[in-house]
Amino acid sequence: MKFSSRQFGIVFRYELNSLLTNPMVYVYLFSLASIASVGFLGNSGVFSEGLSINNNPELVNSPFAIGKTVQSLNKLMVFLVPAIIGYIAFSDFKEGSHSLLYSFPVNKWELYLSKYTAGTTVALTIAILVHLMLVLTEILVAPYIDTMGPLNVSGHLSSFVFFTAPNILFIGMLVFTGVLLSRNRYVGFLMVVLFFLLQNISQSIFGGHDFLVALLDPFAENSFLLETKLWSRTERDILPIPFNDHIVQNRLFWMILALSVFVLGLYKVRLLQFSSIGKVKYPRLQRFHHASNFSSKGDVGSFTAHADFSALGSLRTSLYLTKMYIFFLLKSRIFYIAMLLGLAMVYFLIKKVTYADDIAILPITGVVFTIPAFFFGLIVMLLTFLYAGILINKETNAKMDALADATPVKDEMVLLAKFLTLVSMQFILLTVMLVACVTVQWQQGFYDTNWGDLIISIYVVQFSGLFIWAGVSLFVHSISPNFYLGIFILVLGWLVVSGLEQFGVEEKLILFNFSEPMQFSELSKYGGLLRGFLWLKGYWMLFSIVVLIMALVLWRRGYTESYRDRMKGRRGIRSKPIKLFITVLLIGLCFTGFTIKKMEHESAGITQKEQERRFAAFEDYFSKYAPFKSQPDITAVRLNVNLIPETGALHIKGTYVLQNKSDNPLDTLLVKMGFNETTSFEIQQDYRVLDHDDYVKFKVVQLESPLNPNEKLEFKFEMDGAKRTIFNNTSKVLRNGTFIKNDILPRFGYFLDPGEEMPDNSEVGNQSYYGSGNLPIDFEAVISTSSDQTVTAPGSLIRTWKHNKRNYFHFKSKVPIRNSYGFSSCRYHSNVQHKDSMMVDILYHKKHTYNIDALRKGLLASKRFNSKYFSPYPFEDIRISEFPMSMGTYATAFSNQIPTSEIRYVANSTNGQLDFAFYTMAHEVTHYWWGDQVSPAKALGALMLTESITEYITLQIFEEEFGPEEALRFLKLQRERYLTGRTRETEVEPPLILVKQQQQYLAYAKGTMAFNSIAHQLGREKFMDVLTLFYKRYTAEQKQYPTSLDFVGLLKEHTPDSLQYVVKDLFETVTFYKNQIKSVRPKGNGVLQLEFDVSKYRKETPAHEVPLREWMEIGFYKDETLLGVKKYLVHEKRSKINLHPPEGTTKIVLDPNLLTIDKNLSDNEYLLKHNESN
Amino acid sequence: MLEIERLSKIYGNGTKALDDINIVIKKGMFGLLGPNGAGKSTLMRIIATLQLPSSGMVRFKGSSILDNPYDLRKTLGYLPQSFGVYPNVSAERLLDYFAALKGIMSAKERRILIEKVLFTTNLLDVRKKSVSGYSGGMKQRFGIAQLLLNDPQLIIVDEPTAGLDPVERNRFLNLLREIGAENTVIFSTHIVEDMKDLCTDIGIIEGGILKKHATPKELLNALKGKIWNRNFKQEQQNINETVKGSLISTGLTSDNDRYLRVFSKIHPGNGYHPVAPTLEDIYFLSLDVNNVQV
Repeated sequence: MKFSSRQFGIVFRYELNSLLTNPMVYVYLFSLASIASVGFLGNSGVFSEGLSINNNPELVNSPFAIGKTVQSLNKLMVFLVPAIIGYIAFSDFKEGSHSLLYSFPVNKWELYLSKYTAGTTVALTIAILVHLMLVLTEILVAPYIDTMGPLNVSGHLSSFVFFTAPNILFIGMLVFTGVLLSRNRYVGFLMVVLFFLLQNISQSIFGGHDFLVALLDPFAENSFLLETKLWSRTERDILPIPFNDHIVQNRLFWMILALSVFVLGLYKVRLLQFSSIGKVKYPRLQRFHHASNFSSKGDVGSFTAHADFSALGSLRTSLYLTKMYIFFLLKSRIFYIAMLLGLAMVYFLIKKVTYADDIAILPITGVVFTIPAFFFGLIVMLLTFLYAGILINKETNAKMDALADATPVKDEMVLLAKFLTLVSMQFILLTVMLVACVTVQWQQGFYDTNWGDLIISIYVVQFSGLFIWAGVSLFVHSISPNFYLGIFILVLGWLVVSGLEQFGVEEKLILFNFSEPMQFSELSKYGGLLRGFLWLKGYWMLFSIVVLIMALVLWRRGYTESYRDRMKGRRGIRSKPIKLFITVLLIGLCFTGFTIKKMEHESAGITQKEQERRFAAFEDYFSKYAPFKSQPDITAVRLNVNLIPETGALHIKGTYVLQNKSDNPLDTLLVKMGFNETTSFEIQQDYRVLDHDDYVKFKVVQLESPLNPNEKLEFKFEMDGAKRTIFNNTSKVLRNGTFIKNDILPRFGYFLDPGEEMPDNSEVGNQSYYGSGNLPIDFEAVISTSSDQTVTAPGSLIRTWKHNKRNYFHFKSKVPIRNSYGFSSCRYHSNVQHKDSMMVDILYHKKHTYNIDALRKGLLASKRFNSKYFSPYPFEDIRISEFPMSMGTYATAFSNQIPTSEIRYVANSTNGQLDFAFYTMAHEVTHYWWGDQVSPAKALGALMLTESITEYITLQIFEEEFGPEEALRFLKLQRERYLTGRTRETEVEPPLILVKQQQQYLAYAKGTMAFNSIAHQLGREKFMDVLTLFYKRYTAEQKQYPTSLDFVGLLKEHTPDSLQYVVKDLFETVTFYKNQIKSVRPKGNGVLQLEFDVSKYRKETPAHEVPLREWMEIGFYKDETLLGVKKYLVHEKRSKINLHPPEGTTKIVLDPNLLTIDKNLSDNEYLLKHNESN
Repeated sequence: MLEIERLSKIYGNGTKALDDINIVIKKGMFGLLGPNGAGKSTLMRIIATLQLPSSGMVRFKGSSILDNPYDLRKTLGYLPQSFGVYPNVSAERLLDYFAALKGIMSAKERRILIEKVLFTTNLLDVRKKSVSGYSGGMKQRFGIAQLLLNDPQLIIVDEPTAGLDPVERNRFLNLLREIGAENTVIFSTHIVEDMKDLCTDIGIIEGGILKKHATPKELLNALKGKIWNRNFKQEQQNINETVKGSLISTGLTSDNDRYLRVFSKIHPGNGYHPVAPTLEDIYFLSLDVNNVQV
């Protein structure tokens, strides 16, 4: 290979010059820079008007934050690669100048290296300028934004050097080679789409194998996320962008791959007229030579044939063309590659969710099409962008446009054919998705596919949005001067529209093709949102057809110099039928637009911003009532509920019995009524309204004669539910699957939470965590619904009857229940069994039978366990009912009624996963004791007494039911949940005793670990004694609510000095361990010398080490079977001990029972080699 | 009959491609002669409805093609100077596609028609091969084949014989003449020879201006007795002194003698003898190559 730098220089300068004089390049630069700037401002919260309640928010310009911003930006910048580097690779083939060029004495290495270098130089320069724009924005707005730290140059630099630049270089090489060898301009863009697919598919296939997930991502985004996965909030603010393990491996892998492909590709490329790689073969001229002449026309007679130029004939021509284009589509290999990868992606995505190791869902129809919908829709959208470009430029690229344009085919028919082709392509791909969904279902033995739901989801919900894109893509490509710019405009437009919504634009008629995501439920389908969705999509479909007509007006036929030229050629459009069509279309567009506007107005009334403003105004004025903490308690509730699923109407008539349980007379009632509902009330005695807010629905009422201690008062009310509206349905009553909680009924007290107090405040013990009115109540309700539905509510079902074709249900509590209740109405099937002198009724959707046994088992196991330690379970009957997953994925206990999300009814434990349904019931039933009976004080740390203890008890129930290994698995899940949950924490993580309401990762996950650790070291039974003692103490004394400090105090009393540190570490501080086995050496006679490190630190950055005096467990395993555990007291960081492991030991594990919280478990294990174990 | 009135085309960059062209083209073969860049292709594209003029009017059979381009396209056969085709598609399939574009919706009729045009252009044997792999001549024949599909009444072929070997060229021109007997054929070339026995009408265009428009016979008659030739030895004397009248062309004979061909209304002098005028003489003279006024 001879290399003359001169030739290189000439080509390089030529290509560089041609790029720099191309306006397209500046369009890319300008739009990317704007997006970078606006995106950064958006992240900084400039557009969200500072309503944040977080008083210690995360920095928006920490290296981590910059890294994340750059990762999203990179996804857009990668389109520069096909648009610039791929464009250059194709430039010679475009006009066929390659045949001329190849006849010169050029060296292919120089030629293509210089071209690649020129393209990469421009792409990198744009990327650098975009980064600089980011920096500039940061500098300019820094003085106005509180969440901005000092400018972190290294953060910007490393994001560029580790991610952006390598992405452009490596992907550039691959794309350049791909375009060069295929001589196909579209290959570059398609490769980028395939890279996106690869990034996603590797997550689905290799989820859990971090190494592969990180390695196979061409953008290294997964590596970045994995490296920073366990970063806490503080670490995110401070640490630099890491450049180790996953990221280095990824960058090296892609560098080697790209270089090899590039070099091999250049080696392979031949400077020949016809590509040896593409499909074009050398023509076999010799075979044709015989046929080298014209015959006379006279030999065959006339060429007349019947040509049909009627409207119908034109339409048939259009269909003919469609068939022809689809034929081309189906011949293209790239289409099949995309389709196969899409198919694989759908398959693996669904498998990932349905086969997950820990918590999985069964592949029911309502689940399988929901999982891949978003991502697959995205891929089809990108392919629509691509194929719209291919179709628009089809004749021009084949240089056949002059021949085709001179034929009498109508422009509108050609456009129609292209549109139909594009839509057919989407249809084919969606059908592929449908097949993939059903395949996974059937493969797992679920043959009762719900075809109706599947077809509506795929061919209505998914297809409508894509159809809209089809029209718009054709329009953009038809006016765009070149293919790449067209793609770029489309991708940009899509991003901008998605961004607008985040920047507070709510106008449905502006947010192109946008619709709120609709969670599908097999109970409630789309929860009444489908109609609004279809209206919106209908509007945008009309819009899409309007822009298609604009495409027609600007259609390129023949030789045109300008858009004006193009328009002049469109005289056909002025024909009457077309004018009529356009008029009808515009009227349709206006009509749907107007209707949507009207419905939007009915649905929302006021904007989000206005709503926020009114709440702020309310708070300003009414916060003066916050100190009125003393309110009467509700002691009895009687309700008469009519719900009409057909219309969404809800009418409730109710009576509360209020009682003054305080020691002082009360004369002021603060009444909060349902926000979307209309409520009126009457009080047994005279009163006057002192203050009211009609928007927030809050009234301050003064009683004429004060309510004396223990005196009772009747409060009667009537409530009408919100109307069913087409957008953001505010009616709580669905056609099927209604689930209403009592928070829409009147309640008492100032309802805006002032935040929780510290638990050491002496006042807090007087108030329940659940607010005032939390005493047990007598509950009675008569609820009616449509004739095909069943209602559930707390209490015992006394009677059911039918009247006027409606079903009536009468519930009455036999023992007082907690003042937290709700009711469900649904076409339920029921499974009733009498067990342990209790009736268990499980209400379910007719297909959701999978977990009925597990639900019941969990319930009964929990009842047995808790009754043994704490107090008997008082209910004779208990009902579990499901509610749509669109309303949440949780479960909750309303005394003896346990509403549970549909998703827990379809949990999958058929492949050895944790029994999620069992867990749910074990947990919820435990809340009767820890939540209802022991009700914590309104203070920080309250959740420790409800959720943490409940979750620990659930762990115990789990162990009793499934054995210690399953319990350990449960614990491992909690550990994972804690470590990942804390990374989403926006504030500084508090210790467990100060857990806040929203900090579920602490309450559930760390709570379980903490309780498990102390219980394990204290002894399980001894710990249960402490719990029982605590339970008895706080259920005996009414009105005294415990705090987390009360529990920790009691725990410490029963903990020996040697273990006091455990309480401090896990309850009172945020403590981590770094455990690591350094070496294992055989010492002869079966003795092994184990060298290991243990360190303990509190503040993470910089790590603040704490002196050690710890018990550390060492576990001996034979494969996965535990042979034994030994405990050692550790004083120093490095320990060296001699062990005598049990016979057959193959693995040594440090801290096998997860008693400490160690972020990295991979170095806690040591696999013994054969000679070591002997 | 094709009527062109005051047709001008000025490109956005100011280039005047056509300047006030007025011409009536009747049934038969109309040959458009002119050097590269004369405006031939622009004129043909405008007639083929693929480009809009800046001003002027084109009528075919009395109907304005600018107002009703589709009407013209129904009866138009157009073969541009160069064209491509979809890669990897057989001639048969591509012709089927063009037939459909031309409005022939009956598959059976298309099949018969395609067979006819394939036979006429002698591509029947290779109809299953992809056109993108054809040789230059074969591709040109394919171009003719697609042109014939709608039995066109106006045929526009832009430099069709370029790239054809002499035999192919001959047959091709014959075919054109056959079609031109009943229809209007406009074809451009800069091979003057193609025009000789073929064209009923000739137009010579340069710099966007129509320089001449007449039948070949009229043109030749006008030059009768005014073209002179003289041969002499190369080294004999200075050419400029030898030239009498207006020089049309000079070159070498097969004996390596130099010849001079001049236009002169009177006998130019010693050594010159009269020769029969050719179309080439007309072409050179019309284009004002040597500032000769005929």
